[in-house]
Formats: sequence, C-alpha cells, structure tokens
Amino acid sequence: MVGLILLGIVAGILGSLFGVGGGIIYIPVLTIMFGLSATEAAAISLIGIIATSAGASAYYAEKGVASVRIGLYLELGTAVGAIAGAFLAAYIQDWILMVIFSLFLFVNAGRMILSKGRDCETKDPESAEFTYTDLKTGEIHGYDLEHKTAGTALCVIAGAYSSMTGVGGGVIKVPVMNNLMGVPMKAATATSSYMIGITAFSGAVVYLITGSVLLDYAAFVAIGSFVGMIVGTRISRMFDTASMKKYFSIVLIASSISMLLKAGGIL
Amino acid sequence: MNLLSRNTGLFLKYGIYAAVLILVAGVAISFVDADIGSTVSTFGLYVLVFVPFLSIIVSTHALYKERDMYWFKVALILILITTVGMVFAYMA
Repeated sequence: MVGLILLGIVAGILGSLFGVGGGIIYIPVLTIMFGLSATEAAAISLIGIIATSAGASAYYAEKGVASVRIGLYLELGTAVGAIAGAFLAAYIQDWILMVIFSLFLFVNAGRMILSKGRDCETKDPESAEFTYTDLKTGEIHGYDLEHKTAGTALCVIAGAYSSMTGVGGGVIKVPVMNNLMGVPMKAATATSSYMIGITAFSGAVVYLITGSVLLDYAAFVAIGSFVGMIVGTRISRMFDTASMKKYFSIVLIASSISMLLKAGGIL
Repeated sequence: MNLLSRNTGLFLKYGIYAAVLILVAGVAISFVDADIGSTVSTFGLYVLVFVPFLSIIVSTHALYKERDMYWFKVALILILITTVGMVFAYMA
C-alpha cells in the first residue's frame, strides 16, 4: 500500500513538473517492480493520470491558458483511438506492448533533450481564432489553428497509443498542436494537460467496465497521484524545469532499457 | 475569463477533490469493514474516472449558454463518441 501511494506521489510530482501524465513512471514501476502485466499496469496508470491531469488542467483552464475548445475538437479523434486501443490491448501480447512502450520512452527522452518546439506567431487577440494568457506576464496572445483535419487524424494515433500503453499521449499531442497546428508551446502544453484527462477516461472506462482494473492498486495510486500533483504544482516555480528535463531524460532511457529487458524475459 | 473556461476549470477541480475524498474515506473504512470500504473505494474510482467525461457535459452546457453553436455541436459529438465507447465496453 505504502509503495503504491509513494509511486503515485512521485509520478504526480514529476508529471506536474514536466507536463506529462505520469504514465512513463507508472508503467515501468508497476510491471518491473510490482510484477503486473502490461495491461493491468496500463489500466492503473490511466487512472493515476486522471488524478494528476485533471487537477493541473483545472488550473490552466481557469487561467485561460488551456483552450477547452481545441481540446474538445482534438479529442474527437483521440477518444476514437483510445477506445479502439483499449479493446486492442486485450489481444496484443504483453511483450509487444512493453516493446511499444519502451520505444515511446526512448522517443520521449530524445524529445526532452533535443526539441525546443516551434516558435508560433501570435496575433492580435481581437482578430485571432483563439487566445491564451501568458501566466508570467499576464499578456493575452492570439493565434489561429492550422491543419485541423491532419491534427485530428494524428490524435487518433495518440489516443490508441495512450490506452494501449497507459500513458497520457502528451508526447504526441504537444508536437501535433505546436509544430503542425500552430498552437504556441505554452498553450499546447496546457491544452494537452486538459486533453490527457479525457483521453485517459476513454481508455480507463473500458478497462473498468471490462473488469481489468486491480481496484486496490488503482485506489492507492490515485490518492498518491493527487497528493503528488498538489506538491508538484506548488514547487514547480522553484525549479528550472528546462535543465531538469535533460536529467529526467536519462531516467527515461534507463526505464526504456529496463522495459526491453523485461519484454525479452531477461528481467 | 469566459464562462466555458471558468465552469470547466471549477468542475475539474472540485470533481477531483470529491473523488479523492471518497477514495480516502473508502481506504479508511476498509480498516474497520473491508467489504464496505472496498465498495466505497470502488465508487470513488468511478467518480474519479468519470470527472473528465462529466466536465465535457459542463463544457457543453457552457457553450450552449454562450450560444457558440459550432463548438456546442463538437462537444455533443464527443459525448456521443465516448458514450458509444462505454456501451461497446459494457457489451464486450
């Protein structure tokens, strides 16, 4: 019990600091240290992600950083993918899911090290399609949405990936919104945080209804995740998260290798 | 701040707080009565999982009140998609 709550707290803190759902912590720990199957771990991870992301996104939505409209629109594709992915996961062998997740960790680590995002042009808020508030300066910036159909189609993949592997999918959604659709990085990250909760719901509800969730595990992880989210949002201003990302990426690479070894039966 | 952002944010915040309170209560009760505690915890999990879905309904209502019909329809379609997913899951 204590271990699961601690896991939730750590994932919640890191999730709040780095703008991720926490699945990249949950899945390796639940499969390697707790010995759960990939599907069991994915189900619990999605529930933990909801606890983390809903709290963070509540803040961003209230402050006008996250775009609820864009989130709802892109979730049309993501939800379809998430529902399909949750059903597919029951038919895919565990080791394949672990390999897919390991690749995901590796890509995420690379993105944390290399990617600085696209510097999207902002417009006069009066004439723009959407706006977001820069929390540091208090300024309101406007922007228009590009390539809506392509963005929604890519979000189907994000949704499927999310529910099969138990992650929030932000590693796909943020680049899609920022690089492809022209959403400024701060708004993209905040909107992704809002979307992650809905995506996780689409997958988690399938697992819940089909009885695939270890309820005791999920309850403790959710409580810890909520506490971690509260702590993480309070301390995030104390840290330079940009430089911490490079060190966190080392953890992700180590997790990726561990997952591959587990998939190969070595661990 | 517009009605959509405010209502959605507030619902997410209080929804999660309520769900976690129920979960904590369930865990505490389970030390006295395991069956009742498990039932309460399970209910708390369902509340937690459904908070994002219910926030879509709150957002839909706010969009309707703002008379933003295009985004209102987008939100309605999303509710339909997620409801169909739940029905498929129940039938599986």
